[in-house]
Amino acid sequence: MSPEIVRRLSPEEEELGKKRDELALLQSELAERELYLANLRAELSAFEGRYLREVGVLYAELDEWNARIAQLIAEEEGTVEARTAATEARTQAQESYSAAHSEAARAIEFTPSAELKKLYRDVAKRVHPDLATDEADRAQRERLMMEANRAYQRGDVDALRRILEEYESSPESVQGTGVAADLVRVIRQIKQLQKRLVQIELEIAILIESDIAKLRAKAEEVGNQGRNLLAEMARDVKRRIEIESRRFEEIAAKKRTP
Amino acid sequence: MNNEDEKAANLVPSPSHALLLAGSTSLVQRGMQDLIDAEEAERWLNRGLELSGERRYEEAALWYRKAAERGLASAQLRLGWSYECGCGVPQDDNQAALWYREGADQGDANLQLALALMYLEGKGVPHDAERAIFWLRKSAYQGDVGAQSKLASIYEAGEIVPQDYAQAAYWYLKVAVLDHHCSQDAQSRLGHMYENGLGVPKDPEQAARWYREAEQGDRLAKAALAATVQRFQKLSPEATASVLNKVYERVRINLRPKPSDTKPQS
Repeated sequence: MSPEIVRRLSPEEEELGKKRDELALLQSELAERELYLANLRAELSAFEGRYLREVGVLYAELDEWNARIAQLIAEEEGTVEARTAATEARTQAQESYSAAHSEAARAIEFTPSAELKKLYRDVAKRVHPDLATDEADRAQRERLMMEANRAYQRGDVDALRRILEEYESSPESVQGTGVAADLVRVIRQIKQLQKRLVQIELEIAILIESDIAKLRAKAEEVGNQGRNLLAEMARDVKRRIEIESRRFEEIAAKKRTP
Repeated sequence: MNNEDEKAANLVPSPSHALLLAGSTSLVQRGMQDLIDAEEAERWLNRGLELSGERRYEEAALWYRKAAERGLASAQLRLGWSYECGCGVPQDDNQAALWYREGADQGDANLQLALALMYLEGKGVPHDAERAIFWLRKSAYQGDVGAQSKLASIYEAGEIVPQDYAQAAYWYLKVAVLDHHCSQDAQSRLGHMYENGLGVPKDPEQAARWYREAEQGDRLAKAALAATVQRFQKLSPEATASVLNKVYERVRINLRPKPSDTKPQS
């Protein structure tokens, strides 16, 4: 038996082994939390899309009637105030229209497959920017992670697979230059991952506190009573649209017959 | 950029972790605000009812209006009544009809009945039997007992629509089986219809049964009336009497059998 093989590990090597185990554990935990965050974000985006399509467009319509009424009044009265009000109402109507028909309105219901989740976890585990060892490495990882986030939200399994392949074939993923350097690198990675884990919890807390999350919680709450919150909200805005459109017709009719 | 976004930006420097939600936040905030207002509207109505109980009708009407403008049907009814009786606002039947119309369009049965009665009497709107029947039927099909009673008596009388005893008996029966202050009248009318075979097969047994129920119901009806008065107490005694006279009696008057119709029971 060669003495090489039975050689006891140096204290540094022993430490490196322990730290590598610790890092592996953290990577798994981080991947889980990144997945949770990505799911939450995607679910909220999907709900926001539904809200914008079912209710947001109606607010835009309501604002359109308000802008038309303000315009009529401005033409009628001709005062500075009336004209300013009309301009403001028009701006508001345009903003509401853009928001209601923005990219966000196209987000659709999100049901990730088991495969999609597994691939995302793998990407988060291996490609995560906080595992970076230098600036160039970090830049590449950040780019890939961003792509992965978008691919996950689209449910694009192929794109996630490509990202994994691209990362693994890149020179940055080849590691190792001596025990001491490895140890320093692993310890730094552990610290970065721990920091990111805290950040994730903060991000989750912020998302949960957002208006759209509160709205979704409310929708679920009344949904349990067999009600449909978005439908109720839409009905209410439609009622107001009807009032405003009637008001517009009245003012317009008065104008035609002075 | 609102506070939320700023917080997120400070805490999360890495671009890959930036929040993806943005752009449409103003529309989401508006929805949330409107939901809060809708809950608030209930409180506004209750504030109005309290003030009305203290006979501060003008202030009460302001709160009714606030809640009514927010689309709360029960506040629209209160505001309509206020206009009808001139409580806290100048008497104005047009305004009353407008508010009833508002809630009727939204599908509220009470307001549909209120609007129908305005069309029947030509109060605040031109007299229009067809529209009155339209709203009465909407309200009756939603189970509004007042609308069912009124509809029955209209079909029985055949003054503003072709007489239709079958329809009359159908709606009387709906009301007769209930324990409601309109039930007693419906029961005695139903007895009359069975006795004479109007819209139902002639059936002395059924006739006797409904006449008996009506007699018993007389006591219950009085209790129900008392309860109704109780319910309007918050509106002050004067307004209670006024509302009861105007709204409740309007329904009841056509239901009361004419002296010539009532047959003594054997």
